[in-house]
Amino acid sequence: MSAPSSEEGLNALDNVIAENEKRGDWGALALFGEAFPTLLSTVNDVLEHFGVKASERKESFE
Amino acid sequence: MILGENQQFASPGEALIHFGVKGMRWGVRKEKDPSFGEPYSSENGNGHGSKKFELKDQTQLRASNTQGFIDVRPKSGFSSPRVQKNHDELVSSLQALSKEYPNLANLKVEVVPMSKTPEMKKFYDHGSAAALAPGKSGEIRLGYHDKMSKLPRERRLMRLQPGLAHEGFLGNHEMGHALAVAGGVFPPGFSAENGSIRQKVKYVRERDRLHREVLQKHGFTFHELSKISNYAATRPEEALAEVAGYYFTPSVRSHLTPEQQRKAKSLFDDLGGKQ
Repeated sequence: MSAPSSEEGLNALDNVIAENEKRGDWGALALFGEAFPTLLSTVNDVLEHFGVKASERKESFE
Repeated sequence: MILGENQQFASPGEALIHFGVKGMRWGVRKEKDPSFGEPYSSENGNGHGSKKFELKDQTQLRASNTQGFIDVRPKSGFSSPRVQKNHDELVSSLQALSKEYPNLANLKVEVVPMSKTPEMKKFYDHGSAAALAPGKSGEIRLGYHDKMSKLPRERRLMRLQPGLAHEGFLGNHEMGHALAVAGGVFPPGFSAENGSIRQKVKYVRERDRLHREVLQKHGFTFHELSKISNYAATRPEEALAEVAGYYFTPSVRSHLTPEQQRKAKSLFDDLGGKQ
């Protein structure tokens, strides 16, 4: 996709870029839209956002 | 029958019996099914029977299939020159690069207005000028934003993705994603789109991994790609698409170093199935 031009999308991508540059890798997870109403910076943020329990997280990444 | 390495054939016809389908003509691609909606046929609601993929307001849309892909436009015409540009860049890049890359030419493609395409709602809401959504295996939708009169927040957007200021870049960026689908590093999205949050997260991680691997295979690092544009620093799939944008757009190709151009050629030849 081409870059989002919404205020929310641009702000969130600025944060993602800053975090990635700190990491030196594409580590931050940028998901947004219908399923992910806000930009979330890590997989853990995504899981927490949707209330996935800690016990389920292990399973989801195996 | 097992063929020896240096086996000779008496004629091209004999070779075809071994390697091809009798009656096949080299260089002639099988014609695609001309019915509207391959992959999203009207028989199943233009969405594989899934509401999440079913085009909305179909009576307001016109579809043509004369160019090897399905081109869906509003019957009332494009609402602004910017919308026409979003659409036309996708179409011209698709046509040009399909001639060059067999894997791209073999994809089933629909060019669709985002506002009518449920799985593109997130891109539409966030004001992306164009986007790609993978469907089932070998299928993609290329969406154009069909409700903007200009690129919103243009100055700020150009700092993020400066290539957008150049003719052809938008379409070529999206062809980077299309080549990633064609080369198998951008997985089919139909199941994940219809799946749970957990499946969606797994899907993104897998897409991420495959893109990283192919970029590494062709010698690209995060460090160098993050210097190509800020947008390339966001995700590996966007980094690949940004390389495509610069590599395939003649006016900005020199933004890539000669070494990066060599790596880009190798990457896209690999994904596109070009020998």
